[in-house]
Amino acid sequence: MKKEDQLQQLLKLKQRETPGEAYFDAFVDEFHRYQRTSVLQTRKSWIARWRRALSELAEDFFATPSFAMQSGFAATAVVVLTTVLVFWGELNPGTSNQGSMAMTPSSESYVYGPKSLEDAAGSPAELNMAHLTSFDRDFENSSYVTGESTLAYDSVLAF
Amino acid sequence: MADHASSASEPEEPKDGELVDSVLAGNVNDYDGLVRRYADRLYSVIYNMTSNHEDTNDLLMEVFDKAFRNLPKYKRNASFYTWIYRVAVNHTLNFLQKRKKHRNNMSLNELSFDERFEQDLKDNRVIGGDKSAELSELQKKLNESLQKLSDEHRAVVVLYDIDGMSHADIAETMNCSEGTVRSRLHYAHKHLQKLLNTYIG
Repeated sequence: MKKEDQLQQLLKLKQRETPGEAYFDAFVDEFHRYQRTSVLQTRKSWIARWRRALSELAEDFFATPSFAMQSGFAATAVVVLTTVLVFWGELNPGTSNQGSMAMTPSSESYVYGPKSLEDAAGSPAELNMAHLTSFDRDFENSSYVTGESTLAYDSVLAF
Repeated sequence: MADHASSASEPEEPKDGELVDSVLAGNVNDYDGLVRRYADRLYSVIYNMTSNHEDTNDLLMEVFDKAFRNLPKYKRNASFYTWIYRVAVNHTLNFLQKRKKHRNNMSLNELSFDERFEQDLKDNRVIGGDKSAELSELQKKLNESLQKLSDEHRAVVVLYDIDGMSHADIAETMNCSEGTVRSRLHYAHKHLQKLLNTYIG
């Protein structure tokens, strides 16, 4: 007998590897049960999927807290927190320090500029410099080694 | 082979096409007739592709459910026989791909459960009682050898050598040419002969 035929005879033995008739007799009932169950599962599948995904995420995070996962979680938390703060500031400008500085500068925070147009046109001696520190006052009176005022180089009249 | 089920069954039994028409007309209980007709053969095909009875049971349910849901898409230019075989083979091939990915994560409990399930089946099997240890050993060796083939080669061997399908029907079922079927069979037979050389002399 050819090897090919012998192999086919061997493989034919596998035809007998099936469960008994009782299995197939009960199979149709089992199939009906399976279909009814799958109908129920389909209806609540999206809820179940969300729950499963969340629980798996939580399990993975706490059971195997790998560096990558923790970093990802931390980064997400930072992004969410920043977004919330930015939107909070945009919606309530008066309640946030960042918002008050950007939108309504107070007199205390605006110390270097002239107080009014009249001041800007007036001489430097007329400026009220009482609120400035000693460093600020030196800076206001600074001059180059040639003795010329810093204003001379910043002014068009110098050229 | 396409009219295998209809010609093999008794004359008074409705043909596959008639049952399909009846189901599509709203007599959904007639689908049971198709399930009874194909359950054992599809079980054999799926089992010989997976070598796992528990998976086969689940997959068989899923295949009949999938076929039922897709019955309106069934086109009459192919026989129902090859169509449902195609559903079964494709579904099993997809399952095998997924199983390969998850195989390393399989727990010992799952493995032992499958062994228990297999033992139960052996005990309840028609030939189970008087089966010799030699036959059991041979079947084990056959299963191991089949599992060493690629999924596609194994599918062709199962359909041709075990299920007895023709080359043309296998080509239709697996959506490939007859030449591809013959080529895969030739390669698979050569490989199996090497693996089973102690039984083939």
